[in-house]
Amino acid sequence: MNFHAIASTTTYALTAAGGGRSMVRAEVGADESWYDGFFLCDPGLPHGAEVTKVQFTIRDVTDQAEVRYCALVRTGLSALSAIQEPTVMAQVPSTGRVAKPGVVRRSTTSITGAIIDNQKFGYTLQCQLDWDEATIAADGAGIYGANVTYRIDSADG
Amino acid sequence: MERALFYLRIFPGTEAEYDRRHAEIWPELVQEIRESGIRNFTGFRRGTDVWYYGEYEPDAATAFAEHGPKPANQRWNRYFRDVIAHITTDSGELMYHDEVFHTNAGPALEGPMQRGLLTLVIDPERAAEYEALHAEPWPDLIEAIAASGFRNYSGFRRGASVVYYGEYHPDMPTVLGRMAKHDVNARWGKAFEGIITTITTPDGSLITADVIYHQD
Repeated sequence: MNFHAIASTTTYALTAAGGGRSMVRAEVGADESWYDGFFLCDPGLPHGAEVTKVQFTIRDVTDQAEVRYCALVRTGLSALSAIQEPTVMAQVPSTGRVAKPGVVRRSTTSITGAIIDNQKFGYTLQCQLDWDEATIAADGAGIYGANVTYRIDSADG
Repeated sequence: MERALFYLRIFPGTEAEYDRRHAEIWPELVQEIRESGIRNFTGFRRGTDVWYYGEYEPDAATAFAEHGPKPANQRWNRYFRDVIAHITTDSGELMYHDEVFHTNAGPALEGPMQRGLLTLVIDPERAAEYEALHAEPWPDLIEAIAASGFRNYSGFRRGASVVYYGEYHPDMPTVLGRMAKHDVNARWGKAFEGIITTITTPDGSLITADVIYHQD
């Protein structure tokens, strides 16, 4: 799945560091601490599907960064959405600021509102690449991608 | 003094972190807020939606112009760049709601008080009707509001979103329960049929938000 930065000020790059290809932030050396570092992805889930597992493949090889707030989120589409704030349906633990677990898969089977309703909600996957300092290596933390496992009955298409 | 209310939105998943940082607000920032002429400053959060009510001397624009460049505020803004998704308009202004209603009728009340926030949604094409009714509220409505224990009760609108800040004596459930018993409450509600599109959650509860910050 293709993640993209939510804000134009969050620049990014694709890197082969660590094997494979992951998305990393690219504004190292700039005053990046103003940038939110959030990346989003459209999971393209079919109407009526029941989500059973959400998994992120992420990379953190530095004690100065972390990959966090990786989640499947839904947002109401109707006029009522003014009171239906975005809801986190599933979230996996952060890689931790000090920890550097390398390439890891973080997953959860704890899903809130698991049945996909594309008439009422929009769905996004999100992760934040965050760090404190401007001097660390750009490829210290990154997102490889995400998998959403679901089941769907024939009656639901 | 000007009453003002503005809105911001945080990223999904950051709710607990947002609350934690406000519970541990820096003393030097509190001092700067006071020095800037900001009083009764109260933050409310419902999910990723956050509103701040404040009373500003002499007005919000002047107070924030003074507060903006202060050092602790600058550091605080940087600190929240990873949590706040949306706080200004495209032109860089805070997302203010316009005041559409205010009452502080009745004698001053002693004893316990709870600050509260209610939100509702109106048909934006009927906003003029909503505001016209609130510009000339019925006298018996104002009496009922005062008798029920509302004080410093203000409504603010931005587009279809309307938000009410109030000081409830002794607490919000008690005051809303008292208000519901006044006949005028039902008549006032009927006047807004078709104008207010959403005033309760799917389970029938009024739409409230939790206080996550306050300073006098």
